[in-house]
Amino acid sequence: MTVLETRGLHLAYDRREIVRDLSLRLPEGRVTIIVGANGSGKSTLLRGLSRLLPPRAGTVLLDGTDIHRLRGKELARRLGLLPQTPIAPDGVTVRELVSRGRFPHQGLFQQWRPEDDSAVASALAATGTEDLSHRLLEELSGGQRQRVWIAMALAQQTEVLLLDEPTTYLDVTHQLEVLDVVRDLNRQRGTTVAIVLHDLHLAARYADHLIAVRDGEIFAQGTPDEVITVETVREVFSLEARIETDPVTATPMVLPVGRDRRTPDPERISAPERTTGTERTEHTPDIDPADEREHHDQRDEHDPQEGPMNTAVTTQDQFVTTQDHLVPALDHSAMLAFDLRVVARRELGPSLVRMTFAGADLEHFGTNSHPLDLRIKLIIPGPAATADHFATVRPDAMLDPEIHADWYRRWLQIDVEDRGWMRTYTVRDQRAACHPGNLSDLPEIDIDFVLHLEPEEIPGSGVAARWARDAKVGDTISMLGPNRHLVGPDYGGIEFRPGTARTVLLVGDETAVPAIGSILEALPASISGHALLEVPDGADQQRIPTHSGVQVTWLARGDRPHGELLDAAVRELMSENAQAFRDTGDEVAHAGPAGSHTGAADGAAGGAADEAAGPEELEDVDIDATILWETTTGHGSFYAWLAGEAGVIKTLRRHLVSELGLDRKQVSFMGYWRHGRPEN
Amino acid sequence: MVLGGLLALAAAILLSLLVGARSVPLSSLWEAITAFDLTLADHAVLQSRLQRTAAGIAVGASLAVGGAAMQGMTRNPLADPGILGLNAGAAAAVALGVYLLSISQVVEFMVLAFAGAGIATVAVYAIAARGRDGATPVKLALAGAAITAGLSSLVHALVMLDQASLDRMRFWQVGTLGARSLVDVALVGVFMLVGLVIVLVMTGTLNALALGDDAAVGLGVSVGPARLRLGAAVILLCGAAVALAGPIGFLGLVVPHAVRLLVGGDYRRVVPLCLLGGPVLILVADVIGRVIAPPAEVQVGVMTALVGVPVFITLIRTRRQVGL
Amino acid sequence: MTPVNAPTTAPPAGRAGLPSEPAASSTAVRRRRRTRGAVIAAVTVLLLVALMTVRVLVGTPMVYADHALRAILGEQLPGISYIVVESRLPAAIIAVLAGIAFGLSGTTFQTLLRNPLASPDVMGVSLGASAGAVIAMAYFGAQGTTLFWCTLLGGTGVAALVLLVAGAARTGTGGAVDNRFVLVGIGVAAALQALISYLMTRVNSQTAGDIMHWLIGSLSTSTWDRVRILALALLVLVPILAALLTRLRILQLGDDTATSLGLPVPRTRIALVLVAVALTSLTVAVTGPLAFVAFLSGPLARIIAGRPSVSLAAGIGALIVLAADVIGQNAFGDVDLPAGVITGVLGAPFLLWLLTRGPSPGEGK
Repeated sequence: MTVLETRGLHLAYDRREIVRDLSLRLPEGRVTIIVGANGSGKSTLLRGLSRLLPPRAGTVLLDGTDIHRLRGKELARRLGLLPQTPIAPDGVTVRELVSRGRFPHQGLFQQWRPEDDSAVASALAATGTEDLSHRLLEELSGGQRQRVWIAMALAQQTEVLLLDEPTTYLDVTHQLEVLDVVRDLNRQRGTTVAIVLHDLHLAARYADHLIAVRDGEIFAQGTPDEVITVETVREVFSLEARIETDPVTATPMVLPVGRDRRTPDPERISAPERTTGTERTEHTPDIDPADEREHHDQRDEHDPQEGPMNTAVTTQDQFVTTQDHLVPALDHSAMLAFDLRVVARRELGPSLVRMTFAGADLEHFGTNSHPLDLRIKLIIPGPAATADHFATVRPDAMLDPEIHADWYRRWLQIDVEDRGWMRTYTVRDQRAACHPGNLSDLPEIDIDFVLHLEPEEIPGSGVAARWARDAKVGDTISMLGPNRHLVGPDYGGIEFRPGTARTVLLVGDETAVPAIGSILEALPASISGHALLEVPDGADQQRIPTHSGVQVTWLARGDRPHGELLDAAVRELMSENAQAFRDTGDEVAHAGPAGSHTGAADGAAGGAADEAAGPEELEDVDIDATILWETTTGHGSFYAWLAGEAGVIKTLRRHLVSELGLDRKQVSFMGYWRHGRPEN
Repeated sequence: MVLGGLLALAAAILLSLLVGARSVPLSSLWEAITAFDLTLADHAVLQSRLQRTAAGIAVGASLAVGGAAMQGMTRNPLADPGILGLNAGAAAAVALGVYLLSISQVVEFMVLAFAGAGIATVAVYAIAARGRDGATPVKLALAGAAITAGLSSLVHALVMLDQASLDRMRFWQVGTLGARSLVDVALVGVFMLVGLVIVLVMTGTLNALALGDDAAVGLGVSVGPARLRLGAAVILLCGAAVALAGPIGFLGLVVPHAVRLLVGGDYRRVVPLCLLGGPVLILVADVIGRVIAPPAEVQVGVMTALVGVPVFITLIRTRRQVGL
Repeated sequence: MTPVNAPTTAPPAGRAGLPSEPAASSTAVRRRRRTRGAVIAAVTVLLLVALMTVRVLVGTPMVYADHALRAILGEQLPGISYIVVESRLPAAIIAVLAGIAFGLSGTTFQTLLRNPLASPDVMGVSLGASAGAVIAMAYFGAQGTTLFWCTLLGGTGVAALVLLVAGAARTGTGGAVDNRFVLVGIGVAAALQALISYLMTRVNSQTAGDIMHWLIGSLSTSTWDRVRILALALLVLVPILAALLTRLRILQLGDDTATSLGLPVPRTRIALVLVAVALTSLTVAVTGPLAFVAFLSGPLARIIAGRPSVSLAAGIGALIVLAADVIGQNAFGDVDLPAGVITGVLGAPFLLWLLTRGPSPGEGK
């Protein structure tokens, strides 16, 4: 076993000292992971451990010998390092690159020996890159390339291997893949491994020994359980976090507490557990703890629909004996339920109304990006509502991750008169509290409603439009939307992804006006094209501000059939321009279904993704016979985005793709509703 | 930084007016400004130096800004006005003019140089823009190098065939600021001004392009048209400069790099400082050229290199980060 | 203190998601590459032999093949022996040797500095050699051996200066040294260019003509002495370069990776530069700076072979110089144009053709 250790090591660039008086010893045959904030000196330390950076003072010893006294190749046969950004030469095949790892084992004149061959072969095998061995490096994906680089370091066959941020730029799947390769290597060959990593979660999972570095000094080291503590995380990363046990590997897991939210009061977290049964947590209402019990009791009596759920919860109880599986919804659920109050209502036209909602909970709402693509769901209350069915996903609630995972299925089982109707809307504007122009002192959002009123009122049909028609200032409603602490800008809603396109075609009926309005407001000046909008009445026209060069055309339907004008306008427009928009179709052939990128680690947490954000590329699928949906990321210069009544949209899509021969990947279409079908 | 640049420029202008084979005292400068009298020797000297200084400012500013623009649009630190075939085009046109038409007038040299520079650069761009991926930096640089090598060989062949051509060419080739009237400066100054304005307006675009074409597109830059506009500006700037002073190769390369080493890579700062740094370097070089080997004068093209290279190398050595 | 208690449950290291390429096709790829390499090598050699034959036989006067052979074997044929043995044959051999040297040094520089523009012409080495020669001619009226040594001195002196100034004796991350090297190189090149232009204005017309002729580069002054010098130089330098080639490949991976593979980076870099510089300077001393050969050989070889190839670059260099000389000697009637003019004039459109021919793998980065 080889021991790599440092004694009183000082490392510096020019006059700036990065690492100070550091003594450490990498445990032999184990995986050591070095973590630390940016600029903490962890990469510098790794450079010092190899001999990329000569020490200012102190020594680095490999089995007791100063590494700077060893000859270059001699050291390289025993100690390997993969830098963070190795430079890939032009036109080199995978096998050639991996073979270069044999350099330290060769003499002055190249002598390729059988053991070199076998070393290369086993390095390729260990990293799963044999199949790639004759491919050129530049043809590979990022993850494949990183595995090839690791294979090169493996071919060096050293006793100690140092890796500097080997997972940078890789997606979750490939990060795990790369680290698995490294750990297998450690387990099978006994190689001592040291890795610099910035991902605390992965570090805790893969490290036998964890070193936390702060300001060039070791702040803590030991097993992940010893090192990953609230205090270490706070001191090393300046991060407030909770430490939980990773449900998959039982290693510590760091849950950052966002800067702009409060940690739930520990008293409150435990209160329901102590006083009521587990099932109570399902209903923890968004009210003061004092009222809690009464509320629960009352509801338990009037809630026949909850029968199956109670059973499920009871079963749960049999093997979950402690209460610590309850987690704050804010930390766990990507979707939250928000309490909103109407603070303003403005008619935009005979068929469109804009309502402004305010709510204190909205501080937790959003995707940390421009409101474009911010689709949310409103719960139109049913006539016989008995309870808050979203109590567990209120921002300050606690929830049980196991049960939470299939909330939607369970919600659907509730009687519709009780649970109400769920409808999707586009957020047109989102304003933080105290934003100038706010009508209240709370955060506010604007939502546009289409008054698609049906000639005669049928109970259970057209409820959303009727709600919007009747809503007045002071009314309240529940909204389901993204949790800003967990959801990033890639939250999909409108699914407008023009990719490289510079010319867009936006088509929609009145139901798509809010979404297209939102898109137009967000488009940059470099994009041009046309927007065609069909609305019931000429007075529904709005002025939509846009930086882009997109030309907006309003079509007033009047008495004509739905979609007739739209269809004609699209055909006319495309007959002039289709040739210009059509891309060479050669890339379509290998556009397979998108791979799943959901890491195993996400497990329970992933359940909350609502169905609107769901599938990325659906083949002409009719979702519950009402809506149909196919969205793509545009490529080439042209991108069409169609939304509205399903029949109209389908016809238009057939025209664009089948008749005009546009690449299918250039057309996204969404049927929001379908004529003659009741909603839900 | 800008203030320092302005002060340096003022000092350089003063030096350029006063220092030379015949030194002019500061008092004479004041007299010349207040009461100009061409019969006084000092005043006559000042007038000719004024023309020379004006030419220097125009050429220095144009080359430096043109060089910055070219490095930005090709994202290649080696790019200078020479690299798009500009100097070679000018030289080839002048050589052809000398060989076929026996030209000798300054104006004729200027017109031919401008035309040659423009044609060569347009040709380079047209060639580089062919193919599916358009005018990528590497293709631009390679096409420029190719045109340069081809045209230089043509020039060599021409001057080999004709001794008279060689004699004229070797003097034109070295670059000088002398013998340019204010009218000449004003004439090409119009072109330079247009080019300068274009580049100054497009500094944000240059910043975006520095991040790579994809990122630039993401920032809302239409990459192709932007390159085209910048290319046009470069032709105007450097074509005019080469017309006015002959090929002065080093300035467009070194000034942007030096400025970048001083203030970082933000083109909104780099370009204005190039506007000041170019004239400073060329004027100082010209002054030194006047006094270094009396009574002869070392041409400014030689001196910019001899003055600029040590500065350049010092900067490279003292700063850690090198690159665009 | 729970150790990681979940042994890896991931599938065998990352097979998932790979487009699995059948083994058969991968072997086929390899075989195709090998065959292509062999074919290219054979064609290059054949072309070289053919061009050398043309160079010896064609011209004024034309020489029959059997006469040429007899002359080369030592028979005295009036009017033919001199032309073949003392003029054309050494020119042909020097063309090949010079081309090889330019091709090798150009590719070495371009690979080392990872920049297709970083050929010795751009980096000041050729210009350093030229400046040495021009100074010698302008001030000392030097010729022959003196000129040769001055040229060599100029080239290596400039290279040493650039190495020193660029701090090549240190290592740096992310190609910092390489960038410095390139920048200092072109800075020095610009200064030398200016110096040469200046010297050209300081000499009389006669000398200016001589200098210009030399600056273009030509094979017309080829003698057996020069062949010997060049051949000897190549005999020494090419094996050294070949031995360093493995190290160059390691250095290509960046200073960090190379160091961690046990390569003494600064020493290797200096050694490579010195060998390449020696190749360039020696050849420039013999033939003058033949424009474009060093610049063009590497990229051309890469395009033809589909991947970088140092040996092919040497072959291509030889082909270019030889072809240029043949064309210059024969294509323009009674005017003999020096090879340097032809490499420039014909090389340029050729490179342009390559550029517009369409994208080739790995280009355009």
